[in-house]
Amino acid sequence: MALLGANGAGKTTTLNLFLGFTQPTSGRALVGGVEVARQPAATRSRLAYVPEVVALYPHLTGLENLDYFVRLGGRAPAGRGELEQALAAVGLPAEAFGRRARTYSKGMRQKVALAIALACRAEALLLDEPLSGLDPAAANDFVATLRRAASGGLAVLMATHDVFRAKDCAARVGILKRGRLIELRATAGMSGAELERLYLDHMQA
Amino acid sequence: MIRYAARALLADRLALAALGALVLALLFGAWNADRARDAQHERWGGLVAADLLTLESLEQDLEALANGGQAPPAWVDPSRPAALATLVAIPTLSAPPSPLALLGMGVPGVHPLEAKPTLAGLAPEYAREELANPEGLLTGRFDPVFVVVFLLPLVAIALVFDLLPRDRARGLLPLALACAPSAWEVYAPHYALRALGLLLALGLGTGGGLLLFGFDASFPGALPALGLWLALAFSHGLLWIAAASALARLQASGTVQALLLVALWVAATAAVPAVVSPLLELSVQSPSRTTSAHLAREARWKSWDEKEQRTERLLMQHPELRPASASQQEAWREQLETLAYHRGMAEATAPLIEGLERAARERQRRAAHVAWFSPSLALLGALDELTGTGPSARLAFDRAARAFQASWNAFFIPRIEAGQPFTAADVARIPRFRPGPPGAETNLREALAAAAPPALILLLWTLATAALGWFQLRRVGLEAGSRPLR
Amino acid sequence: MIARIAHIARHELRCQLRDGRFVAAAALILVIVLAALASSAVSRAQASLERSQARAHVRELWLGQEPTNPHSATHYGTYVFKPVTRLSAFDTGIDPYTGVVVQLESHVQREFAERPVRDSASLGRLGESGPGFLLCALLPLLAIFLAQGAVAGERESGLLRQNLALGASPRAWLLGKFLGLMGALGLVTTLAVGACVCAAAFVPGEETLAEFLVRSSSIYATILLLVAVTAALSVSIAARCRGARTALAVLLSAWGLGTFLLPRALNEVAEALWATPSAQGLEDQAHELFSQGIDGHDPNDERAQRRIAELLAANGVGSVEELPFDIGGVLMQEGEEYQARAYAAVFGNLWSDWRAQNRLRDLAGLVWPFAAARRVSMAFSGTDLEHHVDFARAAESYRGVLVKTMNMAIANNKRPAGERYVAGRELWETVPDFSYRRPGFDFALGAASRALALLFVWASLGLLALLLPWRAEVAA
Repeated sequence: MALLGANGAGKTTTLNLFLGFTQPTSGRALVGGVEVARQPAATRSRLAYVPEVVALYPHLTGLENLDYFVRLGGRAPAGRGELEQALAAVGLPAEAFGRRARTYSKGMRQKVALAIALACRAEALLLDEPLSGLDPAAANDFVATLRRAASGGLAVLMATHDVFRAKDCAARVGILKRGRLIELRATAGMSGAELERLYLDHMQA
Repeated sequence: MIRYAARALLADRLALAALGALVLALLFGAWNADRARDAQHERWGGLVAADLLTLESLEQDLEALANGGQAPPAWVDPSRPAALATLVAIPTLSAPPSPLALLGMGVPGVHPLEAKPTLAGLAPEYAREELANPEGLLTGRFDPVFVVVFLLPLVAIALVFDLLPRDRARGLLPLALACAPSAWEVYAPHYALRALGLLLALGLGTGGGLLLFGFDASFPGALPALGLWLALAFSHGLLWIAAASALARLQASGTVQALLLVALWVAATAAVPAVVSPLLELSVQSPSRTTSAHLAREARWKSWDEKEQRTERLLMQHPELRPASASQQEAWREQLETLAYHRGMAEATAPLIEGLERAARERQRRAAHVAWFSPSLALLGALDELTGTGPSARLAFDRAARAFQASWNAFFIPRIEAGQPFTAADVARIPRFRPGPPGAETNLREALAAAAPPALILLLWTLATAALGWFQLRRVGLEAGSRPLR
Repeated sequence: MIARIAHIARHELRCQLRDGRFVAAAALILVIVLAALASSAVSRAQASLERSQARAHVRELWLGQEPTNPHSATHYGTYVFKPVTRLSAFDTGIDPYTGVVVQLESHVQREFAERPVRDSASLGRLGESGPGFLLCALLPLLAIFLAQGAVAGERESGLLRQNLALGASPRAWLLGKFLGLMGALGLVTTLAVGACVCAAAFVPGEETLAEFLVRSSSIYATILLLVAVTAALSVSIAARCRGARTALAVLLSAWGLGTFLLPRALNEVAEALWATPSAQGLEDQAHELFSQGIDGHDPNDERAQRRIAELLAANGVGSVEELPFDIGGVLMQEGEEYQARAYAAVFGNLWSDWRAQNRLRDLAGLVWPFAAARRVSMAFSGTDLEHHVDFARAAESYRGVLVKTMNMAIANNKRPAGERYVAGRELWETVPDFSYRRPGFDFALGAASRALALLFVWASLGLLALLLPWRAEVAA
């Protein structure tokens, strides 16, 4: 599912609520039926997160970064082969595995973040503006990887500006305005232009 | 995870430099303490040797006298016990350095552990002041205790102040916290490893110093005292590491957090003592040394004038003390007068000395309370006790000196009153002062006991700060307001 | 350009005064300094009263002596108390670490006794804690703290980029920042030093008002200079270093080294290089010199015999009884003068060794101006070694006057054999009461000259650092 909205509409806050980084002032956030506010650690362990700006430890290689974050998540340490497989699955070029992360481009960093998310074997994936700053080729690449992952049964919640991409990869689209979800539609029957019209109408209203 | 923490530590040049500086500072401090220890040892040895020499030449002189030599003037005549007790054979009681003196030198030059017995009490505190460059005393000395109390916190701060803020600034925090429940799980290995590094540096510096400059590990109680010294130093380091972690939720940059921690350090080491200690001292009633500076002289003069009266009074009360033969009358009476003179002096100065000692004890008592306000003060108190430069060492020495004083009086006064001349055979029976160093069997136990209260205060501070740090780290990522994102 | 600098400076000052961090830090420093000041002023006032009381009492005791032989009077002797300067409430200096009273007696020059630090619970273990020390140590730290926020913080947040984009040159911006900071810091300094000087004015002392004002304004200027130098350095280094972390590391290490570590380390080196004798060792040195000169007490002394022969020949008489003066008095005086010279030599060596140690310690001022500022502040407050030595010399010369008066009285009042000359109050009164002419401001200036020169070198360095061109690395 994609969340559309202007800056300040509350997309990041929504993600924060699910991750347990922010407390709701009213209402509840549920992950798998469990309230986040009650069991932040347990609910967070079922989620995976790709932030808008992915930062990696610059002095470690991509492989080592993946290993570190996976271990941090409390997963059983994976062998080198498994890690390489995970990186390959997200499309990171093999020669980049052993390079230090400070040499990575934004697209490559996001791929590593995605690999971390997948390796943590979460049930749901939260993404914050994953496509901002990517050129069209890289964006395409990323969306393809995302689709592959989602086809394995992973629930995906993506906050974005990009209306067309949202139509492209999401099954449902929600429009947020000033913290309220004012529209929730399946994208199946709509075209990109229609979705954009709908979005603008809401924004101007 | 430890592996990654290690790599992070090895990449952190500031942390490595800080640890290296700690080792070097400890070694330098040990070198300085070694020199002070040698000086103290030499001084003590010199005094003991001088005492021995005095007794040897005394024996020779007495034999010469017995063989018909010329009698010297009355006040230095070795055959008169009064002269011996008051001038000729007086030892200077002193103490050798403690076994752990390599780790702390106290304040050499101010109020050394020395005393002189007299016929009626330890010589009043107007003993000649030891020479020391006052500007040197002002600046202070550089020994391992200084390093641990003042430098170690800065090293600990340099090790850990930037762990969380740096990742926050680099934007690594959201990803890390998404994988782990809270910052505690992310950073615990880092804190643990750096604490370990600190412990290693501490051990290396201290152990290196002890090996290089000599340490008597076989002395009873030396190893437990050393262990406690190291444990307290490490606990101090942990305290400051925990203090850095307690700032975890602060949304400030690393440099601001470093400055805050340095401000805390200034508060603990300079501000609290500057504010609280003078209040403590002004609050204790003490006789003024200034207005009673002339008291010893007055006592001397008055006592000299009154000694004949005193002796007469004594003889009236104890007529059995009059000698049988008239030939001994003069010499013996002169000795009784000497005894009366010293007793008079002691009586006149006793109230002042008592007042000063009471004030000193009161000051120590209140100083122990001040330690609650600053962990640095508590640590200093504990370490000083362990290295034999604290109040308990002085108390132990005073006790030993007073006991010796009593035996000195018990030996000489009956001889004076009986009017018997002193012979060479009696020399072997003169009491000799043999204390252990301030760390001897019973005394080290005392030192450990005296170090316990401030040690406990430090441990309480450490535990409280550690609990605070743990709590704060857990809140990062788990509760509202922690907001690692934007 | 000037207008722009002034504008930036005013803006910076306003920001600082509104900034909670500055107000909190400044308030904290003021509280600490005021607390230290209160206790030091009270204790100095108390000490001053006690000492003048004791001085009067001791003089009474001297005058009230029973009629006796003047030589006994020289053994009775008297006491001299070190005076308290008003500004020692501000910078306590070495006053807690030197004795306060010295006993004057014939044949022996004593060291000052009764160090106040013996009465402190920690025996001076913790180091200093007077207001002067705290100001010199903490105000630079405040300067570093503020410079970090003002300069490095602004650079990292992008405000610098904006400033430069609007046409301000980096140098103008830096100068403006520095001046603004100095405004804020100057306020704190003035408050603190002002409070100290006011408290010091209430300590009973013997300086004239003019002297007090000159010394206090010099101290104020020195501390202001110290703060200015530190502010200039902090601002320049924070601006030039690539990262805020590096700048802070450099500044804090320099501060820590110069304020705490180096002075102590140099102290140890100084003690190792110039070993000074113990009290007993000093006495032994003096006694060795004595044995090479006349002993006025021993009639069998060779040199005394020679001197007697000389005097007999000079006066053309055949025996001691025919001399118009008492030979005992003359010989004792000559012996006394020789011993005084011996003591002067021995103490002179001791003091010059101590001075050499102090000069080594002052080298810490090469790394950070703290040591230099301290030296100047102690000299102007009258609490450094030079002032102490000056007083010790004055006490010693008074001792000489006292003993000579007594000995000459014996010499000029010859009595027939078997009778001793006994004098009374009239003789005691011919010895004037001890009055100490305090060294003036020029003396203090001389004692502090090296350190002042070093401070001026630092000041020029700071100025240079501010004015040198630098490239603002804003493309972060």
